[in-house]
Amino acid sequence: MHPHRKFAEGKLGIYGWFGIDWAHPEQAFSEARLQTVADGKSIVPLLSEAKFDDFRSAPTQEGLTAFVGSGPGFSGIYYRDLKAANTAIQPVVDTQCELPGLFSGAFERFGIFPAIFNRSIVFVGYGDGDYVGVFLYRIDRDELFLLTDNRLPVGAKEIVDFEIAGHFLVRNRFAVSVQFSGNTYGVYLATIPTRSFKRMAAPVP
Amino acid sequence: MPPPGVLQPLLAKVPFSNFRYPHVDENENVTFIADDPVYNGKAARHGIYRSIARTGELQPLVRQGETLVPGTSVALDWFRGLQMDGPDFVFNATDKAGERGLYYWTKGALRTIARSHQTLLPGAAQTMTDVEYGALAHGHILYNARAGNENLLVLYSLGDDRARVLSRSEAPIPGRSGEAFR
Repeated sequence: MHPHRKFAEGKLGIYGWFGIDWAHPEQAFSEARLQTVADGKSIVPLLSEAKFDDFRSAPTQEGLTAFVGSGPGFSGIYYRDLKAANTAIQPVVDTQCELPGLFSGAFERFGIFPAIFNRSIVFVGYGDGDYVGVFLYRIDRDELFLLTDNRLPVGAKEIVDFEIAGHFLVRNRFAVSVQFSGNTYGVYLATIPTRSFKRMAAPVP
Repeated sequence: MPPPGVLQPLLAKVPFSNFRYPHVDENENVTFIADDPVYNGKAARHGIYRSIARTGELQPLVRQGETLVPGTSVALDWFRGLQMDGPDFVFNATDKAGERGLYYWTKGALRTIARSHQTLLPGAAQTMTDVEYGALAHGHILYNARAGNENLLVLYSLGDDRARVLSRSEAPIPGRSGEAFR
């Protein structure tokens, strides 16, 4: 239940009540209606032998839950859409996913706070060479977009890290906190220029 | 390469040492926690602020050492876990008395949702001893709390000021026969 606490037993899970009838909360939140979104018994997409043993914050919107899941030797961004035809856990990216041209090798880790907006999932991903980028994945198109990253400095300041929060995006503007080298920070409202941000390869189908 | 010039600094001049939890609302106002001492912040102006897009004004909303726990003379001290719903927000804070609380802010007014050694949750044998971050949506706040050894998942309704315990330690885990939440 706590986004920062690890349990060695690997018995963390994500659970939720969905389709809540607010006029009848006692029935809506009954134990019988509590559903498992993901837990240590869930099948990890793309990694047949893997098992989850840790989950981080899992924002939910209209039956769609995104989360950072990890286990021995892997970590990834995943989602589960309980309103879709296929309600199984779906991958966005994991630590075996490479994005040539951005960084060498595969993703190394992910920020613990993904966000959901209008059928899109936004997350911070880290790669080799201190690479860090903010990515947006469109579920409806199965496409991954790079919103911004640290390959270009802001003025003369080198970017070390990004932080995003739950209400990240409004229309084509997003808010992001930036940590620079020298341990200075800035908070920015960024514009996503239409047709000008980079579309990345989709994950393995 | 990412598109040049995507990142634009906020209009407001913000003389802080760090920024956390940046949220943007429909009016493109950005609300954030500043000067977090955990992130090497100097904590000189630790608090929750809003940068107003239209005017460039920076509004202090909740400030360390100045904002009081509602109904007390105890000042709030350290903020984290900022979550928004429109212009309203919840946050987790430790106060100068060492208690940990969850607070709801709307239109300049602060409401205590839960505070350690003060809030008694339904069915709990003792007052709450700890409270985690809250999530705010549709007039409800969802949070996790502890009362002694018991872990409780609580839904607080802003409309009728009522806390409902949704799940707790020893409740059965769905799909896991014989296993219970801790």
